[in-house]
Amino acid sequence: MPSPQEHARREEAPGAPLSRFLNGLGALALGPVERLGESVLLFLAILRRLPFLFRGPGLLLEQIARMGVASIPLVLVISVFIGAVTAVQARYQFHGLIPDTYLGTAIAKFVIIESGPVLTALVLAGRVGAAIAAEIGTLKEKEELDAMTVMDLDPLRYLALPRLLAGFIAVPLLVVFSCLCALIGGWLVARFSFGLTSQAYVQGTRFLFSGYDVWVGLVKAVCFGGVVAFTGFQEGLRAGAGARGVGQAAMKAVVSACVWILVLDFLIIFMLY
Amino acid sequence: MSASPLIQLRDLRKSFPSNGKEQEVLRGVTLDVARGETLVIIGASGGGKSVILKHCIGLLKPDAGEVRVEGKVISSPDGVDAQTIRRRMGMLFQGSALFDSMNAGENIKFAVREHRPELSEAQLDALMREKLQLVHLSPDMSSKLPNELSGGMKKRLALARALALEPEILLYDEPTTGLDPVTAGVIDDLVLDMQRQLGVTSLVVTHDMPSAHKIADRIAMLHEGKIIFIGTPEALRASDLPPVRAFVRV
Ligand SMILES: Nc1ncnc2c1ncn2[C@@H]1O[C@H](COP(=O)(O)OP(=O)(O)O)[C@@H](O)[C@H]1O
Ligand SMILES: [Mg+2]
Repeated sequence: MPSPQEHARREEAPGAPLSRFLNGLGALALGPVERLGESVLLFLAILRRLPFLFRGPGLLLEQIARMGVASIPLVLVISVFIGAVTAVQARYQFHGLIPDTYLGTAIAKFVIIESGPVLTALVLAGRVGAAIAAEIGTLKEKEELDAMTVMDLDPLRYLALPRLLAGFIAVPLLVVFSCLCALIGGWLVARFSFGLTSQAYVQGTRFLFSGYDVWVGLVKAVCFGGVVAFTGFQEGLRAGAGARGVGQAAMKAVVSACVWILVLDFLIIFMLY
Repeated sequence: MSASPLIQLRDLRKSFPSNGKEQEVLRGVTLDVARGETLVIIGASGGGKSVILKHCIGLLKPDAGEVRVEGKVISSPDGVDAQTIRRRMGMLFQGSALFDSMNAGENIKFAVREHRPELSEAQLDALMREKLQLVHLSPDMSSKLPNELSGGMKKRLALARALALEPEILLYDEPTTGLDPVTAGVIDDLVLDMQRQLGVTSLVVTHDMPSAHKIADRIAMLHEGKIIFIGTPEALRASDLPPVRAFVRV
């Protein structure tokens, strides 16, 4: 009979990989928790700078223009096609079951609740989120962030706050615009491909229309706008050295924004319906 | 020089993770900078000279040891806010770190406008022109963007920007690296001017030996994470420490 100590010693070798595995698992679980905590603290730190907004709204307006106005053409194109695709799909799926006069209903419902906010946000994660991450990452790399800190100019106030608020403001506006464009895209297909009258289409969109859906769409848009701007800024701050670090920061910003958008989309729908 | 040193570094230690391992960059750096002097730190590239400067101004916190400015600890969380000390320090970054999105004049005025809201735009303009003159730049170039300037002009603009906040202490990170000898000489003269005309205390990091000899009251050598020599330029020339000999000869 081996003594308990001997037993333990003999067990050490085969047990080591297991404990290493468990440690690894712990680290795997702890990593995201730690990162989430970091994100929450950064987010709150940015919000604490809100009072400074009233001293200089110029920075905010500049960011809204860069994020929002400059994204209009892209959002226009994708939204018209989203509407058109939705029209084709709705007709194909419901053909023979539901009359074409309800085409507008299906399009309006889907566009306002789902595709408008989600697809617009995903596209903006690529266009805006990546740009913010690359810009902030470059400022870090070129020591401009350090230079600001040294001159007692708070980077969260001058860089983070305007970008985050611009995300909260510009993205919902773009989503509203996107929904209108998608409805027009759907109308184009319904009218010219399926031969539905414009009147029937519009009546369809009004049928079952609810203000609550619009609210849900807007709530989503606000959250997604914050996610896109915030992940862009945070990944920029975390950027590693050199061109490679900046490139990776942009990539990570897009990936984590997309994941967060879809997770939040589910949570919001789950809670609000 | 007054009795109490303006900047005191005590047994400063700092490691950075590199390839999964901790790489100890500073292994107990102790150094005093006296009021009004120009102290030059020399040492090999990647040796941790920039890391020392960043500790002096609170951009990095040491793993162990202490940084004091005017006797006040700025390195620990319960020490005085690094912010209050920073107002009196200026730093010239290795790559100038100018704000690329702003023109030269805005680079100078931006921080001043924030910290001295009582100044009118006309007063800010006057201040900007005065600082540009101090570094021998023409006020006409104030509308240029940083990427339209040469390396030497960028360094001078960065110095003008730091001077705009009227610092008592200036930290220079390799001010002459990458410049031709003539331009480097102009920058050296400016470093000397700042000390003589404005009475600022300077801590300069460099591996440019001619420049070090020209501007330094004292030279310190950083080698393998420690200060292995500190003394006058003459003493440095006379030193027979092997790392010093090797460095001074190249
Ligand atoms: N913020 C940082 N994160 C990780 N490593 C760093 C950081 N700053 C400096 N280092 C490392 O410390 C070492 C010394 O760097 P530095 O002080 O820039 O050297 P130099 O003497 O050329 O100025 C280098 O190996 C560098 O990679
Ligand atoms: Mg350096």
